[in-house]
Amino acid sequence: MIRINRLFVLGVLLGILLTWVNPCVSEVFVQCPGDLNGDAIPDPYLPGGAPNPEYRANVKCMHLAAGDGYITMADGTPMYIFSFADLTGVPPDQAIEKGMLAATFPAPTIVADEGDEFYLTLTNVGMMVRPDLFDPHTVHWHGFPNAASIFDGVPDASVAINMGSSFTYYYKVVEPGTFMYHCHVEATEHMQMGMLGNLYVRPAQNKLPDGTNLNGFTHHTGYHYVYNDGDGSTYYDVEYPIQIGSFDPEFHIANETVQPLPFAYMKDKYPMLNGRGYPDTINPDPLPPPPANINRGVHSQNITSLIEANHGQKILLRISNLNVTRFYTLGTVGIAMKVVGKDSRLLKGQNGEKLYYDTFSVTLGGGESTDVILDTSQVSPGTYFLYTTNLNYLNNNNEEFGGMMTEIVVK
Amino acid sequence: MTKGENMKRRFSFRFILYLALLPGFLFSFCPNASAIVYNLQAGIKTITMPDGASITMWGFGPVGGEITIPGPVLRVPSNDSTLTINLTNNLPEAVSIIIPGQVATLSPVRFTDSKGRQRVRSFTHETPPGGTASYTWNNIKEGTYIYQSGTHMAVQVQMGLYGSVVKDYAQNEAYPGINYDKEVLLVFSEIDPELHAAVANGTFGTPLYPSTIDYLPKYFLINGVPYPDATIPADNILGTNDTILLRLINAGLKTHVPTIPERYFEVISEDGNPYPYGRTKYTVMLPAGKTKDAVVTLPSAKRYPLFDRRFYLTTNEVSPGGMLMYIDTVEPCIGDLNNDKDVDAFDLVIFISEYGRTDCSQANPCVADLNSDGRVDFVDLLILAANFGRTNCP
Amino acid sequence: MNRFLLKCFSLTLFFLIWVLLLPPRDASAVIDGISGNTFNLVAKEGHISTPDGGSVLLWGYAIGNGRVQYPGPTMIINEGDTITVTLRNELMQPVSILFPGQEDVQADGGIEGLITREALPTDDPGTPQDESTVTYTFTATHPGTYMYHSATFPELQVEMGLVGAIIVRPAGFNPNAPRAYNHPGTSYDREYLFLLTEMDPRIHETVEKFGVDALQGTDYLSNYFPNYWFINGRCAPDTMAQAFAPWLPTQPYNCLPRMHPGEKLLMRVIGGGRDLHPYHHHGNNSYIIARNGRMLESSPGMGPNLGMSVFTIKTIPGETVDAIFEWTGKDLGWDIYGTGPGFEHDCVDGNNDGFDDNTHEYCADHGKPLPVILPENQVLSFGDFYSGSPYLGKKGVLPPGAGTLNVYGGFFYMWHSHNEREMTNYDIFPGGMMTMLIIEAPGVPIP
Repeated sequence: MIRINRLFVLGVLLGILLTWVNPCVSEVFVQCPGDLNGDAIPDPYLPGGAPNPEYRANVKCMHLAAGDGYITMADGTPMYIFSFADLTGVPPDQAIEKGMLAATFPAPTIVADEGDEFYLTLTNVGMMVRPDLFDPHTVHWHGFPNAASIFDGVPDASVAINMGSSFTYYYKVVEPGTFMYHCHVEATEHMQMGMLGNLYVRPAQNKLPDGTNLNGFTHHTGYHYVYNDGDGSTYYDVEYPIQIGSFDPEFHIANETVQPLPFAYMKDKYPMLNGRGYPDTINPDPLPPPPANINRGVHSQNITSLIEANHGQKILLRISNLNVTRFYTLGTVGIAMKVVGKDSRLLKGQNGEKLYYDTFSVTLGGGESTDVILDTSQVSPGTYFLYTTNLNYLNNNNEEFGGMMTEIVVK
Repeated sequence: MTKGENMKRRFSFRFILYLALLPGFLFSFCPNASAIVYNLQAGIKTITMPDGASITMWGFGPVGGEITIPGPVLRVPSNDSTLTINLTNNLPEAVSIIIPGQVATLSPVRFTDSKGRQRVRSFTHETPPGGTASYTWNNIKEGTYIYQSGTHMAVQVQMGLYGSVVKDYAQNEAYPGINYDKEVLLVFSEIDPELHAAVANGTFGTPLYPSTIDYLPKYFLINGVPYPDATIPADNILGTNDTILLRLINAGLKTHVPTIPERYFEVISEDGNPYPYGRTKYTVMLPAGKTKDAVVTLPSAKRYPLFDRRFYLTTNEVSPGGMLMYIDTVEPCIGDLNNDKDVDAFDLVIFISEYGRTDCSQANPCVADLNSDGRVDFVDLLILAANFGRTNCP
Repeated sequence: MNRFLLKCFSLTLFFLIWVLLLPPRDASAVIDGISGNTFNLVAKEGHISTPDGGSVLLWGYAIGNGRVQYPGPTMIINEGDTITVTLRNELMQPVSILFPGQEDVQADGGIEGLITREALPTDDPGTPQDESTVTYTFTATHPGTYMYHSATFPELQVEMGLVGAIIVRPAGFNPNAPRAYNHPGTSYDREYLFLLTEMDPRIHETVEKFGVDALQGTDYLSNYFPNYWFINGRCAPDTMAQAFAPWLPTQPYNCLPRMHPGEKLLMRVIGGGRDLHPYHHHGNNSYIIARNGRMLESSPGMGPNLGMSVFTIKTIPGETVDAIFEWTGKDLGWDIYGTGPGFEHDCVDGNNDGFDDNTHEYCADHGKPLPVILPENQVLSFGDFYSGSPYLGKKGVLPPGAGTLNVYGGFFYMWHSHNEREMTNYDIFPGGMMTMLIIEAPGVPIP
């Protein structure tokens, strides 16, 4: 109750602030070629039904809010976060209201296809719980090839968007693979607070005509691959982004309660996959929202890590690590991993040497990614596990039988 | 023959006998020739660290035998395709055994938490306290692996419930085409003494010590002991011409980086899977739970330091300690004609029996032709004399 | 937010640094160090300074009678040369040098240590009893990037600062067409060193105030918890200050990589400390050509054909990585030199490689306008490295005080540890293991 009163007051204050700060230029502004109504969804047809001349099939748009919110740790502890919320499809005049206190963790997953022109609008909706913060935000597409600094999202080297306004990033997507994204403003703070998300690009090879011969491998419509491998060797049936993360509860509490931020003592105690500790990782649905009085009932943990496949299928795990404190080793038990990619590139030598290798664990520091294929035809139907072999992180802080672990179900 | 040599010879004979009987003592050998069975127990063992600290461990050992940290090396003969472990649990809580690097079907054990969520507490079926259970891997692959508890892993593995599984592709051939002469098997692990004390005195799992999230090891071990106790077994004498297979196993919870700074080696596999191309390094990143194999020759007759480049080189805060050991190499002996690791009168007898031969060839070899010039002559005798009396040959 | 004030403070510092950087330094030395066959190092005590105002006790290697430094002097030597390193000890405890990756190091003098021969604290200099000097001799059999560090209680002494880099030039090295290894696949235009280390200030404070033995009453060596992170011995923003800056007398080396589009920048990355660091370089992937001084090749003579492209270099304690970084702005979908009035330029691709023959502009994107409208300045926060223009080599109108550190309109990219806690200086953000790469427009002079 205390929270909702406080929030209400703060929200009103923030609302006043947003209209007061530069009313002429401060606005939500979605840039999306072919989008007629600002909801970041390109419209192929004009209202009358005629083709929209601005529409291009390879243009994709997304609208993200940057703000704050709450999630629930697997031991039941609510956690204050900064992160992004998906505003795609929301009319611009409702965007700020919808984006407030709606941050999700991990941030909404960004999926693009090689060849896309991707327009990403970021609207800074402000921190409802920390109205004293005037923090700008950015999106850093981590690993974008030949990035230009204006769209790289490093505030020191370019610009960051202030509260109440929008910035549109443009990416011509030419490189398939597993990337990640995060806010780069005051990176240690904003990333510890949760402004982290999955991002991956599917290769052009997926769209080859049916029956194409790939060096002896016959492509069929609907087949997908991790990379443009040229031989079908990265074929998979189902894919799961798996983002390694972890939170230091003391840091989040300090931020929520306007205390000095303990960078020097930062120790992450909630190890997670896709923003959840075990057993919440295996909940196939969005987690129930935190108590409605703290984030308006928004579903803020929407990405399951339950890995499911039918026997015989190949599972692609797009593993990335965006925690800010340490390396984690993620292992499987009972089923082998085939590592086919690292940092958005196929593991292949200059003369086509195959550098794929089989293993049972991969180790990633923050900002690393790897692509791993699990071939379920090699095992019997049943349940297998993906877990950190740093076994002391199989805890949700003080609660045992949790942490960085999920299940792989082969049916 | 001196008395000492006589003793040694008898010892060698006993040793061979012991080796022959070992499987009978420790393990009941399955009648099926393609399956090996190990009968293990899990139990409590108190060990003493070099600083005098007494630590309660949970570990594996042969049934009727001693619990060791790490548990016994489970060797799977090359022609065996199935490994069975019959586990007897003498611990106060349920345990199990998994081999993360082997494909296996699992029977997870779940419980329902206070919020009604199902959680797995054991990756596969448990052996209850005081009970026994059997764990079988069909189609077991060659390579170097960890076996460890698959139950309550955040606690049980660091308590000491780990060991290694080794299978060669063929005799002295680790993987197809990877031949070696000698093996050095090193298991790296750690001990957090406060955590062990909490488990031993029952405070672990209570609000006093709720979980292992603050794991803070102070003892850093190679094959269960810190410096200066970690050594190559005395009967594993390494020659400067030997191709040595390093089996590196991290049963700890932290990443370690074993290094032989004076020598490059070829890292050839991880978790039992050969790399498409070897990696020439003097360091090996060995994350928690990882096994890697490397092939090395140590061409100078001297001691090569091997240590953790993450510098976990203290024993309960005191230096030197922790993960430091030496690999000693010696020149090969020339003249150990009967391959008993000594150059002695037995070899001289063999030498004399061939002395004067001039017809040595590949088809008709002479063991005593030490300089390979086709005959056994005075030159060979000089070589033998120069090596005569050497013991503990590689 | 008081962090903003701190940031302002550190950015002011940046500015001072930047101004001082402007006059190009010695054009021949991009990686600072000492070369030759014979090196006299002395282990000494001193202090380093950190950007949070801290002063941290240092045990380091000095060049002869020179000042102690962190890291130790970078030794730049040639393949095939026999190298003699003499170490004299002026510390209060034994000290040594280990040369990981050098296979036949002869050590003479001093006393036998646990890992190599050690020099005792100076007692009777020059007398036959003097065991305070050790001479290490080895032949640099392979080119590449290596390190050296103390092997005497290395868990303490490397932490205290006794670590440095070694660069072995390949036989027949041509400074005008440099190669990292004996293969054209390892050619580069510019090279920079990234010796990554960290320090746990609790250890240094304890040693300084209470002596080494007092560490036994702590758990600092096993419960290692650093709070300073360094590139070439400096924490950001000092990483970007000029080399041999007079106000950093014991931290002579900087790390400020600069390049033009289309050039090849060789990153020599060394894991000098105890922790792993994910070193993320913004801007593009790099191509790892070697680890531990050995090319990633399938067989001798192949060149780095087994190299791999990464956006984060996993830096492992004791290991070195050589990686080639390139940036062209290719395929961005817009003209990085701008379009319309004031931005007139040509793209001439005479050699048909897709790029302008001089500027290395990607011609397929030539003349394509920026696809989005940038917001008004009033709603933006500006970085001090931002030129005010999205276009390379251009400067735009910025609010007063913004963008002051971008002199030539270059593109700046943060190169940093992606375990972002390592981007702080003992509780203060930003700092730590971080620097900036600058892509300068064609024609901008780079030393």
